[in-house]
Formats: sequence, C-alpha cells, structure tokens
Amino acid sequence: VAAVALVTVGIAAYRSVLRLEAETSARNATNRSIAALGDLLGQLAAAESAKRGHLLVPDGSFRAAYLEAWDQVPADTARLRRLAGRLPMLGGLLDTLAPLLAAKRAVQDSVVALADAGRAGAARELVARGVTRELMDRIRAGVEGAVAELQAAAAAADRAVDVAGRRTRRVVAVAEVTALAVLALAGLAIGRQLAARTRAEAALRARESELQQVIDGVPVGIMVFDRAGRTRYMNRRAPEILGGTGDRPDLARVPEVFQVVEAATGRPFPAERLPAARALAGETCHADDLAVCSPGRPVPVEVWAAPVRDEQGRVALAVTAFADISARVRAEQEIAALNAELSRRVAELEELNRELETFSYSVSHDLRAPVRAMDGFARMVLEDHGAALPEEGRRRLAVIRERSQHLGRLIDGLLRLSRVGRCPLAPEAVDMEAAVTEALTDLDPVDLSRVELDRGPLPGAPADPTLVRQVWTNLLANAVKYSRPAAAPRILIRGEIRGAEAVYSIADNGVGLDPAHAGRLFGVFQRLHRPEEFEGTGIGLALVQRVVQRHGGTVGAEGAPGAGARFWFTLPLEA
Amino acid sequence: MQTPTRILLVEDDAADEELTVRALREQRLAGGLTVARDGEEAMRHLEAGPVPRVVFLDLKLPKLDGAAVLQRIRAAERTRHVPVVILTSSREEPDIERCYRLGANSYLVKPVDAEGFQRAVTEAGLYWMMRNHAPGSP
Repeated sequence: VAAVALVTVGIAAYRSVLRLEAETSARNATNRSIAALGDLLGQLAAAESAKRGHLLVPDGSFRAAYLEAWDQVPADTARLRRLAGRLPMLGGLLDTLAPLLAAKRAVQDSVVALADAGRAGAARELVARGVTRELMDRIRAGVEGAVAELQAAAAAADRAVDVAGRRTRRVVAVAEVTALAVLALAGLAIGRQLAARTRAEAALRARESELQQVIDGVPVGIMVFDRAGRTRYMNRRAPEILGGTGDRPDLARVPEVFQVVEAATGRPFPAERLPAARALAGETCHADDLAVCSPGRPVPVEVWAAPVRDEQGRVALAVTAFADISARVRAEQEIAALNAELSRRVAELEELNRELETFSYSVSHDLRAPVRAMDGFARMVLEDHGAALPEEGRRRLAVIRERSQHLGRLIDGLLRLSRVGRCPLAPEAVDMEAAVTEALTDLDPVDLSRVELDRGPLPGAPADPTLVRQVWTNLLANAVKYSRPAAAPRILIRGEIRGAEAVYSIADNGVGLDPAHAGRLFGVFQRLHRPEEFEGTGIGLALVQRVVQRHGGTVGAEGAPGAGARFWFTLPLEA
Repeated sequence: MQTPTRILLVEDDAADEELTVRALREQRLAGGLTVARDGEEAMRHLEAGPVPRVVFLDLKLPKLDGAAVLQRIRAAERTRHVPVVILTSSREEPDIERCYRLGANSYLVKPVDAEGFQRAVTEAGLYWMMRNHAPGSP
C-alpha cells in the first residue's frame, strides 16, 4: 500500500510539474506575440512617419528610413507566423493583415513615387483621400484586438500558471506528507513486528519452561538418544531412577555410568535388544526385564521406547521413558512368597485333614469296639448272672451300660460331625416339604403322635438332600424333645423366600431357652439342660450349624425360658 | 457226620468275637462256626478248608486286611460266589464304596450298644444262612 501510495503521489507530482512547464511556455509565446505585434505596429508607424517626411522633404533623406521600416515588416510577420503554431488565433490575424499590409504598402509606395516625380500635389491629394489612414486604422484595430485578446489570454495563462504552481506545490506537499506517513507507518509496522517477535519469543520461552517442568515433573525417567546412540537429553527424574545423586550427569558419560543388565541374571543386556536401539530401528517397544546398574545396586526398570521421526519420516531420535519398578518387583516377589507360603499351608492343611480322617477312622474303629465290649459284656453279666446279683449290683451294671451307650452315641455323633465337615457336597434342587416328611419318619412315632404339627408351605432350595434331611431331623427331634413337657405340644414349620435366600423356621411351645445362652447352643457338646431333664449328646445342633454353614447359610435361635423356642436357618438360592 | 464250616467269622477283637459268637449261638447258627483272627488265617481256611456258606469279615485286621481278603475271595474260583458280609466299626464312606466295588454282599456297621449289635449279627446270620439261596445250596 505504501508503495502504491508513493508511486501515485509521485506520478501526480510529475504530471503537475509537466503542466506547470506547459503553462509557462504558453505564457512566453503570448508575451512574444504581443511584443511582435507591437513591433509590427511600430514598423508601420515608422514607415508612415518616413513617408510623411519624404513628402515634405523629397530629397531622399527619408527614403531610406521608409524602406527600412517596410523591410522589417516581413520579419515581424514571419515571427508571428512561427508563433501561430502555438497561438492559432495569430494565423487568422495574419491572414486578415496580409492584404491590408500589401494594400497599405502599395498606396504608400504610390505616394512616395508621386513625391519623387515632383508631383507633390498629386501625392498629397492621394494622402488626403485617406486610403492609407483607413488601411492603417483597420490594421491597428486588428492588431490591437489581437493584442487585447493575447493579453487576456496571457492573464488567464498567468492565472493558470499560478494555479498549476499552487497545485504542484500542493501535490508535492501531499507527496511529502504521504512519504512521511508511509515512513511512519513502515516504522510502526516494523516496531509492531519487533514487539510481536519479542512476545512470541517470550511465549516460546515460557512454553519451553513449562514443558521442561512437565518433563521434569513426570514420575518416569525420560532420555532421548540420537541416531548414533549418544544421549541427547535426560529429564530430572532419569538420573534419580538410575541411582545417581540427582545431578544430571555429563550426557556423554551416560553409557559408562549406567550399565544395563538383564534383571533376571544380572548379565549385560544385549545391545541390540536395548529399547533405545530397537526404537532407533523404528520399533515402538516395551520391556520390563532389565535393570540399570548405576554405581549402586541394579535397579529394575520398565522401559517404553519409541522412534522420533523427522519431516522426511526418517528416524532421527529415540525417546525412552522408564520407571523404577523395584516396589512392583518386590511386591511380586512378596506375592510369590505369600503364594508359596499359602501353597505350603494348604498342603499342611490337606495333610492335617488326612490325619484327621485317619484319626476319625481310628476313633471310629478303635473307640467304638471297647465301648461296645463294655456294654455287651455288662449285658452278658446281667443276662447270665443277673439273678445271682443283689439289686444294687444290677443297678450299677445298668449304669455302666447306660453310660457306655451314651459314650457310643457321643462317638457316633462326633464321627457324623466330622463327616459333614469333610464329605463333598452334592447339591440339587431339594423339595423341602418332602424333606420334612422324610425327616419326620426318623423321629420316634410315639413322641410325634403327641405333637400337633402346623406345616406351612416351604420353598425349595439347592442343597445336599442327605445333609439337609439330617438338619430337619435334628431340629424336629429337638422341638419334639423340648416341647414334651407342654400340655399341648405344638410345632410350627414355616418357610419363605427372603431376598436371595430361603428362610426356614421351626417353632415349638416347649421349655424355651435363655437368649443369653442362645449363641452357645450350636457349639459341640454344649447343652443347656441336665441329662436327667433331656437326653442328648450336644452334637445335633452343632451338626445343623455345620451343614448350613457348608451350604453358605446361617442358623439362629430365639426364645425365652418357658415361652418356647424358634430355630431358623437360611439357604442361599444360588448355590 | 462232622458239621461242615458254615460260617467263617474273621475278627481280631476277642470281645467282638465273643459277642458275635454269643449272638449267633442264641439263634442256633453257631454250629460249624470257624473263627479266624487275622487275614492270613482266614485265607488258609478259605483255601484249604471247606467253602463256608457265609463269611463275616472285619475290615481292620492284622497281616492281611479285610479288603485284601475280600479281593482274594472274589479272585479264587471256588470262593467267588460265597456271600461276604462286612462287619466293621468303620462308617467311612470310602471303605463302604470300596467293599461293594470289591464284591461285598452286605456292609454292616457294628452298633455300639449291645442290643443293637446282637440284632445286627442275628439278622445277618439268619438272612444269609436261612433265607438266602446260594448256588449249590439245598
């Protein structure tokens, strides 16, 4: 824009100057024309004076002046003719003047010739006829008209020159102002560009600092390698991870200071498999099987590496990021150790289980036989020699039999309990109402006949049918047993689905239980009553709990002394 | 005429033996009863003596255990069809399964109480001696 403005203004100034020159030269031509016309009239007046003189004194002294005056006239008209090229009106004037001048010369020549011939009278007469005067007047009128016209033109030209001059000065002034403005604008623009560049550089520095802080702030080490494998850059975290003091070491010394080894073996890591080398070969890769040996012990690291390409797509650099995975490796080792420990414990537990099995087998075999002998032989004594024994002797033998039978039941109960804990569950969809019906057949029909049974509908549940039947048997036997003292024993059997499990309950109106001891009910050999009151081994409810827990359910009991008891258990619907 | 061996009782526990014999005797089943006190003795009787009508076999025996005896009984041509009643203290499932797999005809867990024991032995004796028709029996 500045250039266009400058060129435009320059062209305007140049044209203005050209016009001024043209105006000035036109003005000069006019002046010269007026002078020439004045000269012409002067010559004619001189010729007139010389003619009159010659008429008065015809001795020839005026003849020379006369001729000389006329001789000048063609020169003047020639001048005017030349100027007519610039001033066309002169051409018309000259055309008008030419015959008049010729006629005037002819009359004056005649007067001069008459005077020379001594005929002064005829000459004067010719003059008196006023022919030349009339011609002269017409010439003068033409010339003066032309001069007036020229002078007017000259005045106009003067004004034009003036105007042109002023315009030129104006144009030049505008040109100067424009040039100054352009210069100022250019300066401004340059200044602005400089400011912008300064700002951009500051922003770039700020951004660089930001990036530097980001790169230094990330919790991984970052190193950049050039194509020759030389270290080009490392962030602040890198030397920390590599085990240095935190000072960034001389990059050239990195390969000497930090040696990469195989994490597993501690042997030098194959150079061609180093992540940086693979990245320089164009591969984006990851490795966690290496460790870095700084002056200290090897630090296990996980490394990610990727190539950095130039604009032509060639690998220019390799960037590697690496993290200290000591904690992870340690955790993995701990987990491995824990797993090993766990495996060992499981093996121990399995061994213990086997021992327990062996133990329960030998209990089964070895304890039952002596107890059987005690009961059997006591019975033999009673059968074979009972009559010979006093009453007290028979009673004592009966106590031996009773207690040995109880011992036998305890042993059998313990064995059942241990079997429930060990035998594999065989769950299937169990029809609980059928299970209850079957369980009732396990009970003493005489006891059962005294009881009013109130059976509600029972939802089914997935369970081991044999074991769940045992649960019902034990709970029903319990309810029957403890409701015996009631005047009208009544047992309520209920079941419902509650959320993701089935809940079953057996309530009786028997002796009830003390809630304070309800938690102890399910322990092995825990009894809340003396054997004289209610017989039992203290194993039935423990077995119930064991079975239900193995199915993932829970058991509970509630009640009050003398107000009956309610036992409940749950079974998850999703096995 | 000599009473042929009709019942072979293999039992190492003297008390159990006495209780068993008494129970069988009460039912008049003890005639021709032979008692072996370990597995090898049982095999000697089975291989050399007459073939019994029924074998009452304890599992836990010295020298040769009950399962091995059962296996040999079933392996030998002359004793292949002899009914074998396992009479043991073991309620262990694996034992029960194993015995039936080896060809036991019955598996009785000796009750601890005297009446129960007597009933079990009596019923088994009566069943196998009286009710059951073995091949070749009259």
